[in-house]
Amino acid sequence: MRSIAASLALPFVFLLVGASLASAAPGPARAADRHFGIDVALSPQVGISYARSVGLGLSGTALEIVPFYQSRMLRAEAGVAAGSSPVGWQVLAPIRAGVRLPAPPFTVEALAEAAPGVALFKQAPLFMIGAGALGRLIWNPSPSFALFLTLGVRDTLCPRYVDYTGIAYSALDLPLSLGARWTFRAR
Amino acid sequence: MRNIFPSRFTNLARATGRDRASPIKTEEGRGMMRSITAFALAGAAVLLVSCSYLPEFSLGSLDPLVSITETREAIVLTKGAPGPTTAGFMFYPGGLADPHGYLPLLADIAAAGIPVIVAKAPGNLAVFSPNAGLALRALVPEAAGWVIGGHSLGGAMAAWSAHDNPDAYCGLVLLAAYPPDTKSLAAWPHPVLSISAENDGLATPAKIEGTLSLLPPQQQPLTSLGTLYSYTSGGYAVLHQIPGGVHAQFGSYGPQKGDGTPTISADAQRAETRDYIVEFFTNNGWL
Repeated sequence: MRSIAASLALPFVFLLVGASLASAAPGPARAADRHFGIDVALSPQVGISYARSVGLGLSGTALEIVPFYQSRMLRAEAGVAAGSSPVGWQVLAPIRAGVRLPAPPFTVEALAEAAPGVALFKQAPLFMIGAGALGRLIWNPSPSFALFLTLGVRDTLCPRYVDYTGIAYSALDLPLSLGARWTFRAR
Repeated sequence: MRNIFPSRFTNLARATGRDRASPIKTEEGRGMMRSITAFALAGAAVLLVSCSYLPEFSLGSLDPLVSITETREAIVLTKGAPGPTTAGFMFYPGGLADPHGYLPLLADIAAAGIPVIVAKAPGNLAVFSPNAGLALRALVPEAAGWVIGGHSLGGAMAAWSAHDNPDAYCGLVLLAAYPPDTKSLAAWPHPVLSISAENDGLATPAKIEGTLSLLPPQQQPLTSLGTLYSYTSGGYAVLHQIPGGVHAQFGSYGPQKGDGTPTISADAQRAETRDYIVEFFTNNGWL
């Protein structure tokens, strides 16, 4: 239970620290670098382990819609990732914070992630929690639009699944996202 | 750099760069946000109807002598090594049913000596991987052959795979299921066992009756166990309807929306299903 509580607290720490850092930079020059926007991505999850047994396979595919807030060097984001998984269908709420390295027309981002959510079952949704890290390469063809490729690693648990099935569900996946980003300047 | 997004995104950039106003206050921005919102709402609606049925049975009720191993793609149930002529049973679960919901039935079949593989499917929908069983056969290499089968949507997809791969399987078991119209098994060269339920509200007796033309034309209804099969080789179908049975009781995942009212217990329906499947294997020399 302690690990679940820690996992639950993690996203809020990420969000708080990330958003604080992203909005802390004062002065007009820095203010012009602050943006908000939204990412939309399709994310196949390449599984490398299931129930603690190593084995390659496709864990599922998710659609991610993730609003974000960023400064020139820092970024925080929180959204929804819905799709299939080895337990059926799931909805996670990925919360991420990290750093950015702009090198026009590209940007590189490194983010830590916590992803609470639910596995969708008719009788009752089951709580899930994921944690991981990801790297992202962004191509910015215009100030307001970008395309990106993300590669990460995420460990996801569904603690109560074992009560129904006898299998302690955990999946170590490599989420691979291809997406589009719309960026708006913060006022 | 040449702008490859001349219309909406250029306007968006212009609004952002020159006016320093949030583009969400522009018509383009609002339109885009409306599109994303509509997309998200549509996705949420799809997800709401995509919830799977959790298993509802006691894990302690399974035969302790049956070994159950699981990977991301499959669940394998065995009881010792299969005999030299024993075929395996490749099973596709019903749509949006957690595959573990079939363990009570399949553990009973495995307890009879038939190795069983449950093929998991993306999103618990076998329609996304109708030929998954082909590769999974390697999980039990000792099996002398393979009978494919499934429940409901899983049965339809098993029939699909059987149609497309007639050399891969030596038999087919349909539980409350029938082949898709485009995958008729009328000329399929192997035996078919079709078990349906009298009070099934989904794969109704009328639907089962109306799709018999999609099965091999040599057909024999079975009303009791031990009935001598009229056909013993080639393509034929043996048919059994469980009196008082319903759709959901082929699995162990609780009542199902749209199903009928059972007048037989879940345990009794499962036992009857098991007995007809084991007899099908025995009569064809696969056990």
